[in-house]
Formats: sequence, structure tokens, C-alpha cells
Amino acid sequence: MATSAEWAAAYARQADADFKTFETLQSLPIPPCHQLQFLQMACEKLVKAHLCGEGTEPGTLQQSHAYIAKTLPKVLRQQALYVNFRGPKAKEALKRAAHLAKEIELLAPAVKRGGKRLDNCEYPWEDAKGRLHTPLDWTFQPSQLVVLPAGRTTLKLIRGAINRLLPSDI
Amino acid sequence: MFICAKCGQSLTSEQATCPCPECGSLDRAQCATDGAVATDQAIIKAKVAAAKELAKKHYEVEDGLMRIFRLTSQAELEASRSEPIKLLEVNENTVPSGVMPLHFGPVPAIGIPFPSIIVEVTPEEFTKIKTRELKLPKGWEIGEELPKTAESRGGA
Repeated sequence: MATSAEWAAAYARQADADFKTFETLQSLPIPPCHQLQFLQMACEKLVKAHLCGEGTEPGTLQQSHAYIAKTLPKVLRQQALYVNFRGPKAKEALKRAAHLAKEIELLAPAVKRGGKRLDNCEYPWEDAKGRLHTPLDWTFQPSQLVVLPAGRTTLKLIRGAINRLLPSDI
Repeated sequence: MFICAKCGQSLTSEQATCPCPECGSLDRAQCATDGAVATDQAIIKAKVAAAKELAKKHYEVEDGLMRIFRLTSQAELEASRSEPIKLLEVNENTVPSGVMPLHFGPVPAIGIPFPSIIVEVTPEEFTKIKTRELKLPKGWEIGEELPKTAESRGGA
């Protein structure tokens, strides 16, 4: 039976591949909803790698996508401390990263925040007024990461955290 | 047929060997026909404008952003629509992470119709890039600085 450490490494490798795919898709003419799906998946696997590394039973992690909003800010805070990024500037960047984490989690169709946020990057949805929306036509907040405050810093923290959790023999 | 790879100015063969009369750059893109010149010129000019717009937006939202430079690669590549705009940003509020190019897709709705790559570094990392202690990706050079304008300062 695989150990928690092995599960953590496996999740980290998958997060790494998802993040690289997200980056590769950026320069291709592909709708943002498809690009963002890989960012959501990368973040989900990153937090699951972190949780497995802390000893969480891997089986319990496979039942939900809703780990990003709660756990990603902790993972990024840990990464910030690891690279000695501290003080008011780090606090501000991490506050913005926590907000972004909530938006990234909502990209998964299973996460609806009590039915208030049906927007997701995979399936069409109907809003409270009966209007039908499709991910292809929707503007997701993370699709404007390039101009969001601390957007680049957040991505660097995510990339750095994935790198740190990758097995050293890769 | 030549055009300036930095600003898109079309140049005669005599002008091609001298600093560009428009911007002073010596970077050149060579084209086979007048039509190709016009196309490449239009793309380079559009990328220059988009790079300035992206820099302006970044200055507006990032308090710690001190300087932004364009990063350039081969002139022929820079004349291609698919080659991302590349910016080096010096931000005193960012996390130190070495040279970590971040890829972004185009966002035409906000005036950025090209993909972009941002290398965001701390002032200390910028010093190391200048002394070559930290290396940029192969073939990339630091180009024109895109300074803060009164307009972008006002938005901060």
C-alpha cells in the first residue's frame, strides 16, 4: 500500500504537469475556460499533495474538489516563508492570493458555494433569472490574472510550492 | 526590405545599417516583399502599443512596481503575431523566485491582443540579472524601458 509521502509526490507530479499545460495553453488560441481548467486542477493537486504530506488519509481527498479556497492560502503562506518573503508586502500579497484561491476553486463545476456561484469552466448553467450561460462566453476573474494585483506573485508562489513538493529525483 | 524590430519603422537598405531614425534601435526584421513589410510593421507596432498598455495597467495596480523593460528575442520572432510580448518587471513587493517566466494568454477585452510572458523579479534579483549572476532564458535580451507615465502613476 502506498505511503502518504508517495501519494504527496504523485499529486505534486500531476500538479506540475497540469501547471505546465496551463502555461503552454496560454499562447494557443484556446478559450480561457479550457486554459483555466488546468490552473484549477493544478491548484487542487497542489493542495492535495500538501495535505497528503501532512498525513491526511489520501482516500478522503478523492471525494471533493473543494480544498483550494481553504488550503491553498496556507500552502502559499508556507511557500512565502520558505523563500523569506515576509512583512507587510507579503501579508498584502497573500491576502490577494487568498481571494484568488476562492475564485480558482469556483472554476470546478462541483463547487457552487451554496448555489450562489454556478459559474464554472466546464458546463453550461442557468442563472436565477433563467438565463443560460456557457463557460465559453463567460469572463472568469482568473482569466485576467495578467492584470490582477498580485496575480503574478500568486502564480510564482503556486509554481514555487509545486516545485518544492516535487520528488527530488525528477 | 527592412523594418525596425523595436518600433516597426520601415527602413531603406542604407538606413538598415544605422540606428533607426525613429527610435535609435539597431534591431532589424527583414522581409521579402512590400506586403510582408507592411504586415510585419503592423504587428510590431501593435505589439509595442500592447506592451505599453500592459505596462501601464501593471503600474496602475502594483504599488511596488519600480521599473518595466521589454525583453526581446530574435527580430524575426518579434515580428510574429504568435511570439508573446515579454516584459521584465522589477517589483519590490514580489516574492523572490529567480527568473520564472509566467505565461499569459491574450486579453483583447482590455487592449492586450497578444499572449505575454512576464518575468517579475525583486530589485535584488534585477541586480543579479544585470551582473549575469541570474540568467535570462537563452536568446532573450533586456530591451527598451517602459517607464511610469503620469497617467499610470495617477491610477495607483
